[in-house]
Amino acid sequence: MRLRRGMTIAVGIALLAVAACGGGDSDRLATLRSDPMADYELPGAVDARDTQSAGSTGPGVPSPAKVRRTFTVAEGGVPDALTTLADAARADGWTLHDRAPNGYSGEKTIDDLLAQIVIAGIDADDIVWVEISTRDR
Amino acid sequence: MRAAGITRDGRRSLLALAVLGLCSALVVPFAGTARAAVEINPLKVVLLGDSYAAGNGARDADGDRNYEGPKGCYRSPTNWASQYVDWLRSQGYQVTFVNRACSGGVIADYTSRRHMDDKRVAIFASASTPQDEIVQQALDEECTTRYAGDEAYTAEYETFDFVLGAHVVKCDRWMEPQIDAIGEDTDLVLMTGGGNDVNFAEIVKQCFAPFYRDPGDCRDNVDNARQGLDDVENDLVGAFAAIRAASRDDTKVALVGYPYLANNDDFELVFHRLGFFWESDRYAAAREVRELGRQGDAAQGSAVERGNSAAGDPGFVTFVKIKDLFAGHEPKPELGTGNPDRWINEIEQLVLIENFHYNAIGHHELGYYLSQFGPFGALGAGTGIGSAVDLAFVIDTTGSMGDDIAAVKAAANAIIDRLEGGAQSYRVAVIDYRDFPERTGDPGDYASHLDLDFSSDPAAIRDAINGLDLGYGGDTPETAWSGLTEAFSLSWRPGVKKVGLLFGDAPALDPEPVTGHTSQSIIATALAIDPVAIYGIDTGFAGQTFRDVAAGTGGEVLVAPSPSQVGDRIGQVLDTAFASPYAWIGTGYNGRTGSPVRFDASGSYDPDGEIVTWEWDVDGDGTYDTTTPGPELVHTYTADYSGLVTLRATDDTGHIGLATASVDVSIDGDGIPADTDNCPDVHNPGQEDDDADGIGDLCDPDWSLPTTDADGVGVAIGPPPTATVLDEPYQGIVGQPVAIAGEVADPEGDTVTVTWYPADGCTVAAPSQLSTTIVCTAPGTYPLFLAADDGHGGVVADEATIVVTAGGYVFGGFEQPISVDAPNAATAGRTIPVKWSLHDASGAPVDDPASFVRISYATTPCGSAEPSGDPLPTESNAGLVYLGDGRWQYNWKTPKSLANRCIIATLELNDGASSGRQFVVDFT
Repeated sequence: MRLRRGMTIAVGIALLAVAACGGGDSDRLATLRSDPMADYELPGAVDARDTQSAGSTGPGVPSPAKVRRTFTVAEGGVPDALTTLADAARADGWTLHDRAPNGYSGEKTIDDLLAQIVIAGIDADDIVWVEISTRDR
Repeated sequence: MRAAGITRDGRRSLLALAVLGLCSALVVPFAGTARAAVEINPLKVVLLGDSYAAGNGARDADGDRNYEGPKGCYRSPTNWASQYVDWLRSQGYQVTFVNRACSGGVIADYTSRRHMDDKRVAIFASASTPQDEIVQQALDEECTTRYAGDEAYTAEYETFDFVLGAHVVKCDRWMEPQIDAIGEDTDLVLMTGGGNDVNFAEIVKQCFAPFYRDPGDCRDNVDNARQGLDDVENDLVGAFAAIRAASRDDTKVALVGYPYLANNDDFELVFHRLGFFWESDRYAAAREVRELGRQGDAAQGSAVERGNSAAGDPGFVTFVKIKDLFAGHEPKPELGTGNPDRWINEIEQLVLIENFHYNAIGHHELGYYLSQFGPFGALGAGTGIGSAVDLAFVIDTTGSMGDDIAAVKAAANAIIDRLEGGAQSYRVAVIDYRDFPERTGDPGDYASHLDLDFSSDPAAIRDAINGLDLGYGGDTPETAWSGLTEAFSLSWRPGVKKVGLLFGDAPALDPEPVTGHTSQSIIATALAIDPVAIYGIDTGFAGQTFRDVAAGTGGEVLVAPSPSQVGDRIGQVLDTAFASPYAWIGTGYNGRTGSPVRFDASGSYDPDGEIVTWEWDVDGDGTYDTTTPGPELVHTYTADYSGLVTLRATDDTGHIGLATASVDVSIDGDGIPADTDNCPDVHNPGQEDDDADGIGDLCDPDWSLPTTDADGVGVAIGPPPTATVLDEPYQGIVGQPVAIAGEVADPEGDTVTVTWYPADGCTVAAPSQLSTTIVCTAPGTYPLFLAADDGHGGVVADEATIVVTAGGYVFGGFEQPISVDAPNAATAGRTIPVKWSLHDASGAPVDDPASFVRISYATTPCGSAEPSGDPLPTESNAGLVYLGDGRWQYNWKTPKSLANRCIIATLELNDGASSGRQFVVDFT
């Protein structure tokens, strides 16, 4: 339901209250976007592409809000790019773990929001990406 | 297109019949010719994915929910994958099936931890207790899991609450990476993936869920999903590579696609509302979401091609498209209608995340469909080859073990050779133990030490064994239980044989100081890991403590009084482990008190013979309560029970294999303790409570599914009608009706309802008639809408305007001596002849005396155009004279009290308008 309409409708169900919480989705996205990794410029990248989703906070199982930057790197450049991205993430306060077979995952609390990061790549396609997401409501 | 009317109750009846018709199929696998039972074909199948894999919407044979496993995952033992596995078993495969799918999962969750939720717990201890001890206590007592290796907690100290008198610790609950369940022992991976990555739940909500749906939001979500499909493809390629890296080269993957979410293209969302202007929107939600589904298939198909190319095996991943299978059985999302032949829930289940997921029929049909693919080329371990094994050496490295440790090192290569030759896949960990340094006085001692986490690298295993050093260790006994506990804390693979090889010459400290471990707690922990069978090699006087834990876990103790016997004894342990039956009864069961629970051990097998005895301990007391002739036990608990069920399988040579699984039996069988269950009598492991009133949705009388759409939102089927306002723009005068007319049509010949929507200030006499009149109360230009509704959501509107002028009079202006351009000079008390002309809208002279009301006036500071006081009326119209041809004269007898004052005078006519009818008088 679009909040722009500001409608008042009397339906005797509590789902209305849940729907009213929908504004939190964009808040989550804004919080993720505030992290430096959301706008990180990978040195030497040939191309960069951004995608994002506000996700869903309910009802039911929430789906993650996420921001993602996908970089095209020079041929054979995926391993170094992954290392560069990981170093940048660590410098930004992310706690990283290895993520087999090609990348890292990790966590960080951003403004009380527990966020997760994935740094991954595909060697054959010379692409790497960094994705920040959260399921916290 | 018009749906035949069918009531909601009627639909439920149809579904209930369908579910009942499914009962036999849920119990008996799909028809097929069973292969000879003597053939051994172990097959390990792991399920990864989201709600479309985990089991949302599945039901047991009675039509009840039967979710199990970690909260929020909605895993069902009757999901499509389980039914497919049942079919594999009917074909002679001994299938170990591990379901790691979890509702809400995204592809990243397959290779990364997923944060589920958090909670604050209070730990009561003195304020001075170190924080790390408080955190550990929280993890030991409050934030525990029955699903080690699958679900995990982390804890973080927050504060000491002086009011509560307790420490507050935040516990975060995580699902471990789903891929952790995959190893070299895995033969087949079933998976779904990508739906939640493109925000499937929000698409359902905004496109199909009554009250939430909206054409604009649906469009936004579908567009956003399309933009995310490239990411889905790349993520899947990464997931395939991860699976490939974790498994064998002949491991196969079946990626199961998604069905359409609507059964045809016709469903459209519309929005219309009159605010400051007519706002409307229309979106072909079903057509666009179905097209998105096709694009999703394309992305998944491309990912499969790339994954197979990277693996160098065109048969590595099979993409199972299912849109054709489900064609005609998808939801029909209009309000008040439904697809009676649906295999996917519409918005009908009070557990919201079951909606738009397979119902019981859908799970069954999909499971059956997969059976047509066989085992997807997975070969399994093959007859006569031993099982996969995780082996943890737990070795006493105190000073007295010198010769024995040297013997182990000498046997290292032989150990690895035997693993290579006897196990389908293996992993080895090495742990050593001594004693607490505070007991021995040697700071180099320790209770336990991890030398090597599980590894299948022969060189690493050899190095770990050869790297063992001897310490002091003080006098006997030693901290063997800490050593085993260290081993238990490692990540053991599900569905493999698990062996803890305890190697020492001294008894265990029992109970162990500091840790409190006892032989009984060690046995309990080992059993909970499905189990870890503890074998002992006693090179001295380890004695009863070793024998106790071995007997309690399905292992045994061998004696090696001479170092020269050590290598042989280790070999015997491995031989026994390989030769013993592999027992498997799944990972967990939920049941209802007083109702039968079916335990299924059909994944079990004996690698070199056959299992001849099936014994069951159903209440975890260590006593085997019953024996069955085969791998199935149906047991009815008469009281609530939460604990382990243990199977002891004995083969024809007397070797035994144990399997354990957690079981929760309660009134509602959802595994939630009644005292904390928000719906104690109904199975709701997810504890859904969307109105947050503390009462679970499934038993909350104040909660129901929405049955209406939001204001202005509707559903359209088929092409919309047309509406046209005729002869517009209209012109009118204040207070007088103006005839208006329109025409409407519907391409399908539906009866069209018309509604005129006037702007504020105007009123339509008969808003539902095509020809009627409109009256406005003030001059202005107004919008006017004619809406046409075909009764099926098709609402359109045509906009017109009506220009309303002030009254029916055309004021011709004042005549001499009145001027409107400058103040008029006059003497107070004298009569002023005020003259004007007046015609009607048609130009005819107005000769009606009622056209004049009076002259009113208000004082004003001289030289100002603004009145400073309230207007005062003249006494009467007695001085009114008609001069002819629309000309009037009013002889205004001015009051003497206006001497030396200035006024603004207004000629009031009966049309209510005053603009342009004022003049100023400066009195002397």
